[in-house]
Amino acid sequence: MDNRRLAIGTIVGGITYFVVGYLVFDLAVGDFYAANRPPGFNRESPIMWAVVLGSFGLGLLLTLGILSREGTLTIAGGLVTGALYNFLIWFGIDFIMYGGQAARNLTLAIVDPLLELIRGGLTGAAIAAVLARVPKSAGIQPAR
Amino acid sequence: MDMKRIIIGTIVGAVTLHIVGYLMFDLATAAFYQANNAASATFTRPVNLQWSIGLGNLALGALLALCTSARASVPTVSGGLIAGAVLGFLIWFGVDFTLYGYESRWNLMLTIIDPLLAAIQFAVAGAVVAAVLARVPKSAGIQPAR
Repeated sequence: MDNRRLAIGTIVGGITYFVVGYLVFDLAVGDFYAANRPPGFNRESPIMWAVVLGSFGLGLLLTLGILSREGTLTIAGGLVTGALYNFLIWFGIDFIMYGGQAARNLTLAIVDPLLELIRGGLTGAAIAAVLARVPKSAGIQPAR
Repeated sequence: MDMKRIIIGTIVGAVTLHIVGYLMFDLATAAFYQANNAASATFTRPVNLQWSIGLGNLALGALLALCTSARASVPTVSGGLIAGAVLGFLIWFGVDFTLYGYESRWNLMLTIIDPLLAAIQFAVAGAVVAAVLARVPKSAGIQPAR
């Protein structure tokens, strides 16, 4: 595994994941989420350092997924991998949490993974676009 | 992409995640989760919806199978164990901290401990998926003419 490419992908992925998440979930559909959760469940103002840390964890996971694909890195390939991984992650999490808690309704458990397709796709495309421009480490060089 | 191996890996992964998850989170550590969950009295269901948890585990099992079968070499139990542990830790680390940022449900200690426990759950599932997939032959694909 090329640690330099992994680190660059994680930084790009973490930033993109956070920014797209803010635009989609805080601005575009914030009211929808508030309407489908019980009152008093959400914090009055989010703890941003925790959201950033979570974004970098998932950015690292998407980078690992994209780098483990065989063949040349493409934006379309990154978009598909990112969307698929993020959809499966949040589909799994949302339904597991819906099964154990009454804090989110079924509509939210169905809609949330679909919105995560967008976030994962854009993040995967950004990671692939940047990593396609980063040369692979040369490894051990032959003696001259 | 070998669909037969992915389907087998998904089913094996989901069943293992469900069983190990039930043993770990519903039996062994339930009291710890309840004590660190501010919303437990208000929002925790009296009886879990097993169909919903099973559906969630099916999606995470599919991700586990995709990661295991994407590796070029033959899956090994130790390789599956490590891949599963990394996958489980990163999924739940990312999700737990994101949700901790927005929701007042869990405290910080549970947010830190949960990904570590999830790594154990996914490591067991990854090892089982790899052990099964190592015994499933890869699809032959297009055969050369004789």
